Amino acid sequence: MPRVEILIYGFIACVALTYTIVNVLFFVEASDAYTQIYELIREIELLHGKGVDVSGVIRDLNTALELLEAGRHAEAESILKQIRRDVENLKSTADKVHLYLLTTKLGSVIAIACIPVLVYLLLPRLYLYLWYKTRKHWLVR
Amino acid sequence: MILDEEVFAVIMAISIVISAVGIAVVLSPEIPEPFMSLGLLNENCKMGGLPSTVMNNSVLRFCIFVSNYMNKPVLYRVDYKISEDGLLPINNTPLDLSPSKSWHGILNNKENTTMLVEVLVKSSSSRRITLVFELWIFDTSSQSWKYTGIWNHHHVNVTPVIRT
Repeated sequence: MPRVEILIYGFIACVALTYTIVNVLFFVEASDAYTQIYELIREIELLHGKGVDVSGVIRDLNTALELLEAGRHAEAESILKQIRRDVENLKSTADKVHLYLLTTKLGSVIAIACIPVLVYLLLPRLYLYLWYKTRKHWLVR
Repeated sequence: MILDEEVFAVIMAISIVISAVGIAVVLSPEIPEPFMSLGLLNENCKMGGLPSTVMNNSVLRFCIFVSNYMNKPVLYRVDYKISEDGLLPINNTPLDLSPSKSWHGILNNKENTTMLVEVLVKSSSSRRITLVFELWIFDTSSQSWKYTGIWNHHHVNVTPVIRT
């Protein structure tokens, strides 16, 4: 085989190999990023269930998804790292928020449940008080 | 006005009903029947006015509307498939075709989004094809994608490209 042909075939093989490696690396990178997103959405769902405001991390995650779909993996990775940190911060306050919301809900239920009791106890008294106030100047002849 | 026993009993009954309804409202979930929706709009993001005839290998622009009322944030995916044999997905089975294109996004509870997308209309043989858009969500408990049973489709007549 002439030397020139060997060089051409060698060059084509090199290009093909580089293309395959780059593609595989991009695929691994992208699938790794998607795995991170799957983990994050699970945690975000848990945080939302506890009543934490997750709108900020959702906005960032959407940005990361857009970057991934545009093939800008490095930028997406850095945003994902930031989201991971934000999620960890939110997780540290999640129990407090959950307890606060639970207490508020319980307080509301108790307050509403007290309405019939208050009506039973206070309505006759209030009625008598108003009855007396409106008639206290009356004269009996 | 006389507050006799009967009037007092009626007032008590009303207060008990109000209290029961109030407690039910406080304890019920935000959305009692969770749902998601998918809409296919024209390129101006308005209803109707979708093209009925397109050239083969042409690019169409649509707006896709997705809303989330699932009581939780949702990672969704819209798959675009071309059905050449008139088959459509059903409520529990997606179309058995690999998607030509997919779009991902995350929606918070009670949020919606409208995205402008470009799709390639490609037909190998048939003159009348169906563009199918399926909505999938990521199920965090099984860590896998789940078909929601929600889809949109649009029939188009494909004309061959005339080469001059």
